[in-house]
Amino acid sequence: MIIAILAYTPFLYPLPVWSNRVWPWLLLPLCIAVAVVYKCTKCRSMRRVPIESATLAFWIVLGMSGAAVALTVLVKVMER
Amino acid sequence: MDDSPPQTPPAPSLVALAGWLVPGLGYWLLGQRTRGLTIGVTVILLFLAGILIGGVRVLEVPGYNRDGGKIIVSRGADARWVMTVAPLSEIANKPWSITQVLTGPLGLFGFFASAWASRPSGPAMSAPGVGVHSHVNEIAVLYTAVAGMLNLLAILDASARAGQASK
Repeated sequence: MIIAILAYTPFLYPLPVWSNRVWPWLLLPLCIAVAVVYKCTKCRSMRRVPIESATLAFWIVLGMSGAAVALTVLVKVMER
Repeated sequence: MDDSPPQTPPAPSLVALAGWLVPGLGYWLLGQRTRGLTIGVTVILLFLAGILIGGVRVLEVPGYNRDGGKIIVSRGADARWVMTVAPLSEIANKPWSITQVLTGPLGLFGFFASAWASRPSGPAMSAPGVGVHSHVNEIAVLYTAVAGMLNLLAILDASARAGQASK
């Protein structure tokens, strides 16, 4: 692990984030970017984009979290 | 920032081409500079973040193998590059490349960099870049592919706006 971090070269080596606790957080910037670009194409005025994209990003994250919880429950039930 | 529309709106095809060459440039030509800048910066940052997360080898280049060499297929006595023999099936084997190339020259440059980083070189004959197979790879592919899809959305929207403006 330490060797992987020391040898890390940006853009040539993958980020040394192997922990299952870390990588799901990488989905947050993706959700924000999707929300910003989508709202940029939909909003008539750019003044509305920050608030509308923040709201959309929140709902995307909430929806994905809900889907993750539902699938986890489904898997646990089927394991019994 | 000045968001005033131009006197004569550019043709939708020109706007689409500009949006592919530089993400957000299509909106810029329509005078919607804040929109263009926001979209352009977001798409480029998303693509670069994907390469930062997974390394440049996350981009799988059609026609090239994991060692950065051309994929050669034999047709009878001839040995030919797969992209000249069966380009569609090769691209279908690497479907993410279709969306990644929608980021424009940035995506094409990424393909060149990926092929270079996969090629063994130096005295140790090791590739400069490191490939990865894990959740990190999946996330990185998602970032680069979504960046291309978002740019396609922006290209279509900007060219539709150009079409409406010219009527």
